[in-house]
Amino acid sequence: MKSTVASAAFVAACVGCTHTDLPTNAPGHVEVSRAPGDLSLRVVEPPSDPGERMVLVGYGGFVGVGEQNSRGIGTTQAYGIGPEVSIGYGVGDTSHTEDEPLLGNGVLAERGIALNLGWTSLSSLGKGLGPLYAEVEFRRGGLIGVAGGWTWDPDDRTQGPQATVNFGPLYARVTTEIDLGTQVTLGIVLKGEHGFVWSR
Amino acid sequence: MSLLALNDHVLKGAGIVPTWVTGKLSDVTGLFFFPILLFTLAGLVRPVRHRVRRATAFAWATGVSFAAVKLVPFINAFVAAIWGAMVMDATDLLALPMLGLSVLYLRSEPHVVARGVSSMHARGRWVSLRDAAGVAFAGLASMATSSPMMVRAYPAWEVTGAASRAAGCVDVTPFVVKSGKEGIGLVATVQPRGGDPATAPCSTHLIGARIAAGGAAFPATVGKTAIDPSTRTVRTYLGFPFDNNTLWNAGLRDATLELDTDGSEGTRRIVFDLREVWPASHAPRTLVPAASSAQPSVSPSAPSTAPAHDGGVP
Repeated sequence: MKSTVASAAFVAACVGCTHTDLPTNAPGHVEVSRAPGDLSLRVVEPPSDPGERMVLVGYGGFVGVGEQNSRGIGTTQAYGIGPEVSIGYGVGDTSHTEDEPLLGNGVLAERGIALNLGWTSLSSLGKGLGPLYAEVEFRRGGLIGVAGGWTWDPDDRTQGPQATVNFGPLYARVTTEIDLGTQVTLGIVLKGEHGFVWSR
Repeated sequence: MSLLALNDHVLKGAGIVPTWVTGKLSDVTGLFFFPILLFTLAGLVRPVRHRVRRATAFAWATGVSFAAVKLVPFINAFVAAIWGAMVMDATDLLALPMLGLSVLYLRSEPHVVARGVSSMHARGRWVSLRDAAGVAFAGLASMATSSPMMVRAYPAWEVTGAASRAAGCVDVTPFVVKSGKEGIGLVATVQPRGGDPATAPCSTHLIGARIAAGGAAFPATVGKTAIDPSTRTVRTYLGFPFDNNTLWNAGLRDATLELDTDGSEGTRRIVFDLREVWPASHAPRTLVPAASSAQPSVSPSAPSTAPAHDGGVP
């Protein structure tokens, strides 16, 4: 089960970084009130970059390990594994280029906000399956994300807050399930992502 | 794997070695490496029992997929949308014998590839950090790249149809030099059509200019005249500010440029067709500045003995 989850997440992350360029607002910026310096040159002035906006749909999974403090048990080792999907909106001051090394066909938002829906299906906290969660994530610089949300565990009939900090594929997460305990995990989130990108 | 990563993510596009070398090196290393990667990934899911049979199967799968991508356009387009642009070139199939070497490697060095996998299953332990890092690096390294960095390309208005039209004793040739959300800027070159200036003096003024698109007319509000005394060629910059972004989003791609002239042969209106074109969302960095080079190229100066002309927009 664990290897299947990890393999699926890895494959999704490797093959799923794609995007679609939309034609909306495609022209760049020019200053038509200013004449070129030399009218005899047959040169077209390259427009300046208007930047871009994007909607990003992500899908994949995460694997994290750490420690937890459970009521009546104390501090023990912890793990959390599960799938996560997200939908976000972002902007970039500069348009993306194609063929970014190691990024494939993916795009990154310089500033953005996203809704993450996940399920820590394999969790050391509580009994049975782990909690479902929903987070709102604020993204900066393409790689950094800070998220906060709420978890709900139907098996243990509990719920609680959750906070996550992402840096690229790495994350740190604190999950508290009221009356159950608190779990802190560090791990890797591997998510494929498809972006719909258009100019500003 | 290191050679593939170095070639695809460092050497390609760096100008250090010729493009054909990086292209072929990518194919050669990739065809050797992919069956090994598939073999290793499969080992994570299911233990290896028939090593040679599995290696051969992955080599065949890699070869058939590679040939399809290199030869079949719609498969190439489909894979490129997911994995990255890959050049269609039948000569790349010359690298297929590397698959045989890959199978030989898997046969002769089974302990190297399967050590971590078999031990993982034997011990029932989760894959080690080293193995996971190796697989992750291999996956990233194998992602396709194309040699030129592709940058954002923008739509541009171009003069279509006749590049030059006669207005009395002169020819007028417009050339779009600016095109963007805020409108269009173009240079109108006015050249006498020859003749003896002593017996056939030519005097023409540009008295009006507008762009008509989508049922609206946008007059030029900026004019600049340059007179080249040696050639008697007049060049006038005309700026047409309008909301071109709205026109673009409305799907309006065609317009007309109307120029009114007044000279010794009376008032005339000449009309040029314009079209806003966008070949692709991205283009190689080296081509973007010359994106509208498809426009008719006009000699910047033509020898003439005719009197100097005046130009400009009132």
